[in-house]
Amino acid sequence: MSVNKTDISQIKKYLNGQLNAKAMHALEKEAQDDPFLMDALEGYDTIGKDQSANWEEMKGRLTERVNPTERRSAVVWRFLPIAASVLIALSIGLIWFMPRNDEPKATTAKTLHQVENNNPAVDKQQQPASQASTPIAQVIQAETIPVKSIRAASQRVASRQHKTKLNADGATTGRAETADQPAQTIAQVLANRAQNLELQNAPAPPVNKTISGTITDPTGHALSGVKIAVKGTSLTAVTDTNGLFIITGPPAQGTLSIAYAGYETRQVPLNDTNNMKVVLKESATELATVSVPGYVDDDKSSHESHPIMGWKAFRDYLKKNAVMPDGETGRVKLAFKVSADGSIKGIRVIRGKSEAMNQKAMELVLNGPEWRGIDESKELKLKIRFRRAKSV
Amino acid sequence: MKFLKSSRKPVEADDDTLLRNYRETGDLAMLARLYERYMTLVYGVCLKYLKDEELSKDAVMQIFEELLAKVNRYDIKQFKSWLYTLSRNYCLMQLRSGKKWEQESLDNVMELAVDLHPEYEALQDDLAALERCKEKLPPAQKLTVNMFYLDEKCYKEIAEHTGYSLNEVKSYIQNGKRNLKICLEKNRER
Repeated sequence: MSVNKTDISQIKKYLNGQLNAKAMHALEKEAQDDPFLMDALEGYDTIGKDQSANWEEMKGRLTERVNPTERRSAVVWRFLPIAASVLIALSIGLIWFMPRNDEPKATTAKTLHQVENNNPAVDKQQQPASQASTPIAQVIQAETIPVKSIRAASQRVASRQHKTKLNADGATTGRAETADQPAQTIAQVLANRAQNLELQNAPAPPVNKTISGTITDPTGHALSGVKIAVKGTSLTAVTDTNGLFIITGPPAQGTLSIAYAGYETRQVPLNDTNNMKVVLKESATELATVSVPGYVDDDKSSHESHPIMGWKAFRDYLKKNAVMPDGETGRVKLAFKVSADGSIKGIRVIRGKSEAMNQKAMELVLNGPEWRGIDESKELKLKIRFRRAKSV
Repeated sequence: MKFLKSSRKPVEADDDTLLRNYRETGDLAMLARLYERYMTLVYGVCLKYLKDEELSKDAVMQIFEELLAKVNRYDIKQFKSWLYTLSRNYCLMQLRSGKKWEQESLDNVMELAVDLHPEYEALQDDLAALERCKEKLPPAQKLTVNMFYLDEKCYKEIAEHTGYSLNEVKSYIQNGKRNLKICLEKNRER
């Protein structure tokens, strides 16, 4: 099959009346055999305006669609080398400063101060301050270790600072450790640092456990708005549109109470699982709050699509309206599906009487009372009987 | 004519090759290139059903998404006709609001592809029967069909010559073709 029998430019020229009669005929003949082209030409004819700008726009949008990440990652990739160079320059600069000094203590202190001063985010009052400067100090320390002369210097520094009090407690501790173990590799030092940090960082509120799960009905559909409560506590949650709930900080032992209108409440023991799956059974008693005339307490209604007003009321509606203007009687059997938003899909006649009656039957369903779609994939069958109008 | 065409344009992969390449590499750019070839047609179809430029532009992008979602799931024999069905189905779905449209199943598009086979070529095979059938056509249809197929006149010319409106010309040709087809089929059955 040849690729592009119809040039876009040909179509454009045709629409602009730029083709001669022969070329026009050729395109029209092609359209006779190509419904795609035929429909498209019809569409352009309907609008009548030149579409070049729109064609360009769509081309651009398609290109965007296919390559959007390039721009974003370009930004990231440009940023990374810059950030890396800055860091390296900083650490090199700091290393350079270190060995030149005969008074390492002063310099180190000065450097620390410099670092602290340069760090605008540091709040001297609080613990985080020492931790902010500590990593940088650690970087300095880590960088200096392999160089022998510097190591010696830091040893001197450290031993002197056993006696010196600096405002950053964490920093002091860290440095002391370095001095005591001069042969450590960078990795070990950093690991120690990390441990220190952790100890310092642990003001220890207990780590919050969470319990989560999903609630569904027996057919597997997620239930939203289900109330979850941990008995004996004030912990509650409500499921979202996916039936998911999350409870933080539950006790180790306990019971979850799961309640939802129209369904049987369940008590489920708390276990450590982070993905409970609970299926709620429909309650045998109907909702008392909503009274819809003709609503039938019927298990079938909850599993199948049905008219919102209920089958009994719908049957009444049919009885009143399934009347042909010419008085024709008969039966029409229809099949259709109801989607989640209540709209009718794929309505068809399984067995009909006459064209007019079939049409009327379909209309009664399509333009009649609202439907509740329960299972979108299940096809509903409906028999409609047309009678003669009752004489008043 | 075909030779001239291919020497002018750079060698381009055909639909099947592009499609296969996409399936193997997953390179979106391939699929986009393929789609780009027919974007004008897809847009035109959307214009026909949705009758709105902005809506149609959005629809064209959405249909690309549909394409992306479905291209690996279906055995596509003719990309162009499959895309046509996809586009039409999407537009019809957009128009839903209460009315029921028969959506052509994407699996059955092969039938559609067969219909793309030029009808007139099939008609030409029965020249004698054709002549007889043409005589039976209502005059307006006979006239327009002759002018279009035999004299190779475009719609505009036919309209000017006959005084019919453009739409009437198109309609007469459509109906004429259909009647000829029916007549010939009846003829074949005999």
